[in-house]
Amino acid sequence: MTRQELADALGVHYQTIGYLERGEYSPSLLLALRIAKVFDRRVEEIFSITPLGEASPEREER
Amino acid sequence: MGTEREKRFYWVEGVTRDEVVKSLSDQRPTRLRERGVRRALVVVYSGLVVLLPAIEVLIQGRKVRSYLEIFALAGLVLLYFVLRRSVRHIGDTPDELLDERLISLRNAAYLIAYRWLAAAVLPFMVVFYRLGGQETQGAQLVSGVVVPLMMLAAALPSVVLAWQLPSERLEEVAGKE
Repeated sequence: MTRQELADALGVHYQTIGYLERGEYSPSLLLALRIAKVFDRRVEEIFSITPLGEASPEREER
Repeated sequence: MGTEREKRFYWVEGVTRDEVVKSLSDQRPTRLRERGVRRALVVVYSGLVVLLPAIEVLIQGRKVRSYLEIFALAGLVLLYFVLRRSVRHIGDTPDELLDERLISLRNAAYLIAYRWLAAAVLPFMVVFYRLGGQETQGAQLVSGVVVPLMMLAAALPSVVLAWQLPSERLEEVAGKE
């Protein structure tokens, strides 16, 4: 899927997708949920308050 | 009906729906969206805004003053439209045509523009009193104070965006994967 296709699916500007990918823009809850819906994933699988791939404190406790 | 909708003119913002949509979806690379070029536009625009009152205060010859005024005014009007294009009309676009990131960028620009405008009024008031003390015609007050202040106010959101926005990334311009 190209940035343009994803942008069209979400109704946002194509550059906004680039900003989201680079972590330079934090989406609103509504946009995050819409992105999750497009990819058929849960929102926490796509967005995280810690860099993705890095172990969160909660995980370490478990 | 669809064409009428595309041609809708937003009176308050001074843009048409069509020009905004075209500007936002334009993916052709252009030097106009490089930070250096945008900042150069801002510097020249600001220079012309300062030039107009300076002409009124400093130039005594009526003919020379008129020619310089026309030159500065034409430059201001031309650059106003170029500045708006350089920031994809974001500064003058209503919410319904922008996404949430662009709306927040535009709103932040308006906040800064308001503060700059408040500061800019002071030197213009000095010029107003300087011109008011002379045997000045009303036209001189209009060209030296009212017009540049109005042009500054109208362009400030785009000026702020042009100064702050980074250069557009090449891979984004193509909108590729």
